[in-house]
Amino acid sequence: MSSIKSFKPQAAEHTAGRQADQARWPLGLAGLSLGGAGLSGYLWQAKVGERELTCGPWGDCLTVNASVYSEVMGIPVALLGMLMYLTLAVVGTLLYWRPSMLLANAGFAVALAGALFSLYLTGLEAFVIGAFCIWCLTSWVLITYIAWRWGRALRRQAA
Amino acid sequence: MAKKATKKSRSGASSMWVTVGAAVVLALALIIAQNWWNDRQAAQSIRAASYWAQFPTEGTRIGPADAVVHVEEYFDFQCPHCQTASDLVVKRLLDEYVAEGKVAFTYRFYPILGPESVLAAQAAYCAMEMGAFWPYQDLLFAKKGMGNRGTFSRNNLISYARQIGLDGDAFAQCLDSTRAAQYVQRQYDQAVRLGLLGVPTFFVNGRQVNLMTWEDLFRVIDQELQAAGR
Repeated sequence: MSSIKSFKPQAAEHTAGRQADQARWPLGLAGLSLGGAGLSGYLWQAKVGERELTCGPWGDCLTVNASVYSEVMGIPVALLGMLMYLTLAVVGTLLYWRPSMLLANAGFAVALAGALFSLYLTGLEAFVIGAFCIWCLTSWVLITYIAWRWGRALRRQAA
Repeated sequence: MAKKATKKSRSGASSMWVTVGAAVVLALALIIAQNWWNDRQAAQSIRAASYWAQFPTEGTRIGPADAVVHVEEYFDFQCPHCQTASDLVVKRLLDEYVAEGKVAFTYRFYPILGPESVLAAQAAYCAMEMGAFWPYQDLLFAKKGMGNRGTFSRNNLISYARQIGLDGDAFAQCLDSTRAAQYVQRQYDQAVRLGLLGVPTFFVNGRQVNLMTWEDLFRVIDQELQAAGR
């Protein structure tokens, strides 16, 4: 009997904890998005010549950041990436304070579009440009995680 | 209650699919816009190729070999003034003087601004070997690369060659060859022997011209033409 008595409060605590975790996801993703904005901002600054681009021992980010695929209609991809991450950071913060299905869907659409475009750019690095950029790959992993986590949270809310 | 929950679940799932669809459309729009823009840029350089075809060329020289006035420019692809000269001087020179057969113009490599300047010069040599120096140099100048930031990295130079219709593999082989490096080194050594302090430096009929304005160059050319009775 004593085990049954102690089980109930533990289960309730566990569920409450899980709900709190679920409620905090937009804030976590907003934080990650700010990190992504910093990364993209660095690549953008390097693209326009305001900063020196450090590539590290692996890959050739100079080639990638200066290739014909580093712009969309004259706008640096890194700038688009920074704007996307900042949008996601703002949407994530708003969602935390005032949950809204419409806003959550809009944020997921932006994150997924970013992840798909980033996947395409990574394919170009591998098969067309012939060089890899460690910062671009980091951003690809980051936005893919954000999109996946955002989509999972949405699916749970919808269920 | 169960019906209500099922209805909520269905509407949630359908809105999720709408969101996924919107994301796919957005990503596709970006990909299409990027490819359209790149194709448009490439088409412009193809038009440039037909423009260059109207002139007689020999290596980095454009214009007739027996022209009464010969203008030479020692240059570096990463030098901002050389990029300006390409837009303001060389194009005018070609349209107003070379097209009439009175003047010939030659580019001489003097890569002094770092490793990408050297690579760009070697790549331009390879384009010359493949009979496409003029459209290729036009494309390189249009990139306005500066500060060794990757615009003229090996892979990008090969990609630009492909953009103007050259065989990328043959171009890459040439770029890695010693003959490209030796050709550029010889021109560099020649510029050093002449005591050139910077780029761009212009010569008209073998005499160095000190420019205060771009107009000074055309004044000297006109004087040379007058002296030759043209």
